Amino acid sequence: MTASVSFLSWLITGATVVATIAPVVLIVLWIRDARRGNLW
Amino acid sequence: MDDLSSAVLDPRTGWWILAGFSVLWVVLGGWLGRGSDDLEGFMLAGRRVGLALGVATAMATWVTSNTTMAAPQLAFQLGVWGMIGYSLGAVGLLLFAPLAKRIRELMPGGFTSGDFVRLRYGATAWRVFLAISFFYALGWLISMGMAGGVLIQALTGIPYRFGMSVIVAICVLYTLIGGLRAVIGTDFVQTLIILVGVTLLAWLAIDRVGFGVMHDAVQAESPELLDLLMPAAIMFLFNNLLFGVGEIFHSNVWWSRAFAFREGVGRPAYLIAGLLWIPIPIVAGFVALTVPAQGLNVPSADMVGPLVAANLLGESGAVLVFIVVFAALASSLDSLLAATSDLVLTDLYKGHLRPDATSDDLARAARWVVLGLGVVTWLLCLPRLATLAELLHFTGAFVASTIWPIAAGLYWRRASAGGAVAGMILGTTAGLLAYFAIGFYVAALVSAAVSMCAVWLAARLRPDDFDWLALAATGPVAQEETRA
Repeated sequence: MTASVSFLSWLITGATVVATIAPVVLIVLWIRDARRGNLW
Repeated sequence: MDDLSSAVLDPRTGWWILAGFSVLWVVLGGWLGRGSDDLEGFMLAGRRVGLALGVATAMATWVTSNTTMAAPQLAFQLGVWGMIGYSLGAVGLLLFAPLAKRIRELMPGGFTSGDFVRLRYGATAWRVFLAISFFYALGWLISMGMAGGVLIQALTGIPYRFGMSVIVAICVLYTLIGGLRAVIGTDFVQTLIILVGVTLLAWLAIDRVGFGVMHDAVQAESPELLDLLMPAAIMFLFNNLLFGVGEIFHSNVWWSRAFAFREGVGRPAYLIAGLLWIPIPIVAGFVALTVPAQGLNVPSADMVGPLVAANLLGESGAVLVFIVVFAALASSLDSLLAATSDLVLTDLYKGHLRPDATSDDLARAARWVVLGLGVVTWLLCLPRLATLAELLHFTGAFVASTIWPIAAGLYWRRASAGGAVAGMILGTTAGLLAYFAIGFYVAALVSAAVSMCAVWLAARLRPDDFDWLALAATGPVAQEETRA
């Protein structure tokens, strides 16, 4: 069974979108923790 | 081809980047770690680490130089399943999430994974566990130190000994100054650098090459890489999954974070980190599938990532990869140094050599242990013996044998000391036999299966009736309070 173009496209685009959002998630969490005094 | 002529960056640029980021990590680590002089501050960041830093440190530690360099290599050699198999390493983080919550609840004053095994199963199991832990930690430390030197040489032409010495010295220095706070604080910045670097390269590869061209070129030149039923890749997938679970369940790197996180943070931190980690090997790895479309000549499979980056972005692509690799190396090496030092300090020094040491004595000794471990790592990495780096390949059999003693020990009263000892010894032995008789891809699987049978059988034949409260008064601080 061979991976199709659409499978590759779905897999790689999906992974890249999640990985692109990841730093934003971290920064949002950091701001939330900092505001609540919960960083450390 | 020698490393100097095949390097994608010139040594001068390499030295500037090394110097710049070395200063950044030491200054940042020193600043973040200020005031963490007592034992809990130095070893466990005061047990008050929040969710943002918790997620980032779990992600950064699990993204090693292997993830950023070996993921493209695996995609290049094993195709689609190579990168998907690598991304299943995240399962270990996801499964550890509930364990982190349980650990924090059962052992609010705990310091190391050794504390748990000693109190849960007694001295014999503790010593077997320590032997496995130190073997694995040393294998990982040496492989990280050596990978640092080798990668810096391959990317910039800077001689192995200089590059390795810089990466080990920098990590030792800021861990020494700021303890776990410095490690976790720098991990946050390193995670952002790694994520931005790999995604930037991925979007560029998608934009410049495109899926249609990439697919057609791979199908024409190496169709097996698109085979979703490639046997070697599927076996790699399962082995990598169990190897990762074993590494995370037993290693003090992850336990020390469970103790260091604020109450209620452990479970969501590991869960989010696992979910955000899943795509990283795919994002870092798929660029290797663009090699046929770009018509690149890859002299050595482990250099495929930097070569693609340099081809897409020119010298700035190579700089980007170098910065990402340096961040990935530092984020894992510092964590391992700190966590292994904790194990040496608490389980060897206090546990075996100076049982009467107070927390003040231990706080003083902690920095010497970090320095000593750094020197030992540097000395072992210096000769660049490939056989030492290969230590890590064997550790799958060792660490997978600890999965069931740890998991059952945390949740099942009936799990017994005899079962834990038999599980670790028989599991490791069977895993090693399978490694040599069959192949690397079954070592962790066999080890975990045999260990599970031993733990289950012992609990059926001679069950324990463990009192969870026995785990509560752990760690040097709690012991002093009990004595007082």
